[in-house]
Amino acid sequence: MRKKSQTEIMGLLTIVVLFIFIGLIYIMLAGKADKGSLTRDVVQSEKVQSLLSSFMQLTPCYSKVPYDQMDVIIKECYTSSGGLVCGEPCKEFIIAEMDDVMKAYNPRQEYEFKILKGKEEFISKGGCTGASETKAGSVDLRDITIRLTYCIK
Amino acid sequence: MKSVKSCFKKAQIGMIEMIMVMIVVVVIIVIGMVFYFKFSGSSMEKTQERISEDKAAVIISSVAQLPEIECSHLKGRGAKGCVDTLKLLVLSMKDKEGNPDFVEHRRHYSDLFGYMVISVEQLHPQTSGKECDISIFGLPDYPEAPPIGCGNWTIYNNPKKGAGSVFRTMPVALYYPTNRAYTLGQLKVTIY
Amino acid sequence: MLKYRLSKKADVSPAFQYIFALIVGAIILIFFIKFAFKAESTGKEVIKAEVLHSLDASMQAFSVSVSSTDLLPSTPWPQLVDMKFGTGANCGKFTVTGQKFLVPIPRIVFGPEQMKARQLKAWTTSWYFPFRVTNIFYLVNDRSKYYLIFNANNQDFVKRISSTPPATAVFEMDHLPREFDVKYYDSEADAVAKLKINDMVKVNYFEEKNGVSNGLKGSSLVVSNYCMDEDEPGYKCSGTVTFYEGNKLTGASTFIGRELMFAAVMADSIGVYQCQYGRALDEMERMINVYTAKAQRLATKRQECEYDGKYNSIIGMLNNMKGKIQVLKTNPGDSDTALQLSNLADLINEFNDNDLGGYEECEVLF
Repeated sequence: MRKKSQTEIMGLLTIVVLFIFIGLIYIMLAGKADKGSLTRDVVQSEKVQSLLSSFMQLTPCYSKVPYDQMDVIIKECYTSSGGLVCGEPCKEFIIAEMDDVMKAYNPRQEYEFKILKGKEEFISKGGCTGASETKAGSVDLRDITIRLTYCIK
Repeated sequence: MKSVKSCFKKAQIGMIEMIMVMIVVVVIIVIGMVFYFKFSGSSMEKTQERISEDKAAVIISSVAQLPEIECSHLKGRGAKGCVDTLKLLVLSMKDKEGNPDFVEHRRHYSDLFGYMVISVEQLHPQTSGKECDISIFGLPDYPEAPPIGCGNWTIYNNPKKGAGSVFRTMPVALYYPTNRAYTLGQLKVTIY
Repeated sequence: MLKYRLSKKADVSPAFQYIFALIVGAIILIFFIKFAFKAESTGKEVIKAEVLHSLDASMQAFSVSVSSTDLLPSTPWPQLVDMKFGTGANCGKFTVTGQKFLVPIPRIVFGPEQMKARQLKAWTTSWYFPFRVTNIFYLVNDRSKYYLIFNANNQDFVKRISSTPPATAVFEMDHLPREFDVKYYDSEADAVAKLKINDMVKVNYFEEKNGVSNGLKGSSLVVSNYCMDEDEPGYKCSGTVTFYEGNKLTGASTFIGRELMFAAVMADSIGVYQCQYGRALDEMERMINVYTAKAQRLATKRQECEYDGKYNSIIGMLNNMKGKIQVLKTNPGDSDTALQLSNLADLINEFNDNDLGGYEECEVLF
């Protein structure tokens, strides 16, 4: 009789172990990484790039006809190493315009805006120190690069 | 007497054992099926969510490049990310404007887009946010330079009541052909 | 004695226990086997329904390109799908064999009417006439084969538009993508040989013909000189196309624009071609309406330009174009109207670039 009850206990133990095993597998599968995050990453990168491309096309100053687009303003500002746009020094004007654009599109978004020739910074505004992740877009105008970076978290 | 009692108990135990085994087997099967359907259900929900995200990303990209709204004066790839506001105005004409050509447009777009709302909004410079209508085109309330006045164009409006939706935006440059100005806007798409 | 009898009565015989276990086990096994088969057949139905919707979704993703090739869908379907593109009353719809319902495909697609595949080769290009009208899609599977047959007069042109244009070609002309593997030959011999291993083989001639070999599908395209000139824009190319099944003439039509010349090559039947050609003409009509309305608004605002009646002139040309499209929709084989449309497109483009674009006070329409 002792042998029989031992067999019964072993059987019960097997079932309990089986249940625990199945439960663990379920928890593992349910907690798997979210595959949707890849699409979100790509969409975020595209948004930064689109925003920067749109910024380059803007005609922010209406005092001079025909209106100059931002890419022309930036090129002229760089080649002439200064100059005025709409009565303002061109560097300040460009920075202010980017600030206005970011406030209008996403006021809570921290960003970094740079205009570079190689490693030399012509314009720099903001920064992403402390951000665990960034998403950047860039536009090349012959020898200068305009870069916009979103700081994420 | 003693042996009769023990036989009776043995039989009872035997029957109870069998019933217990059957109950346990049924419980195991039921729990297994619950787990299976719950898991496949949640997996389908995740797939559905991922498909909606993918679909939204694709739709917003393809809408931004429709020949009906893109800046055609910028040939080829230059037109990417730029929307012609005059074309927006034309597409947002309501049937009451009496233009029979555009009734046919709407039938075509409902095949193409299904249940969706597509609109464009000017963000910078800031506008009053009012809906741009063909009736105010040519009046001071229509954005010119500096672009003020109305700032919203609804080009496709076919929502599905009571259904869930995904909302996406994409920054675009807005072009005003009447004075060659570019402003910042966003394309807004709600997919049901 | 009593004890023995009672004990026998109380216990179930082992034999019956085994039988009982066997019966219960068999019932459970049958239940789960049925469940598995049901899940499999439901899965097959789900796949068929998914195919119908995933192809259009893939084409939508693909349509953002100005011109490119790809495999659709990006992940092959789990099983071979037998699909059919609708013609006639089902024009613009698509179904999978065995399914009762058809799904509308709101895109202009040219290719074989029926295809079996797990994945399709796709090419898309923007159709300009002279403004961008829409993207045209060309779909083909591994079991369909296309050939271009040249003669002494047109071999240079035919080779340049094939999937393998000669490396010596000086300028770049639009040509069929490499992935489509459309080869050029001077006879149908290779095409006939391929009939044994392919579902559909089509030969395309660029001269007048009276038919093709039995079993083959064929087209005879008569193209204008502009089609052969790389320096000329695509919208100046126009011509006629006649479809054959063996030596039987099945129908004739026209094409406007180099993109539709490729469409005439890729469509395997007059039904497919006419259906999609009509839809392409509808798209063009829609774009004409958009540009006409835009020109009307520009005329009110750009008055310095409109002083010379420029916008009214271009509106007149667009209305003329619309009229010709309506003629072509009623009679798609009207080659004179097709040629007139091509010429009109050229006129509109020149007017837009020179008469509008050449003046500071004027804004181009497109």
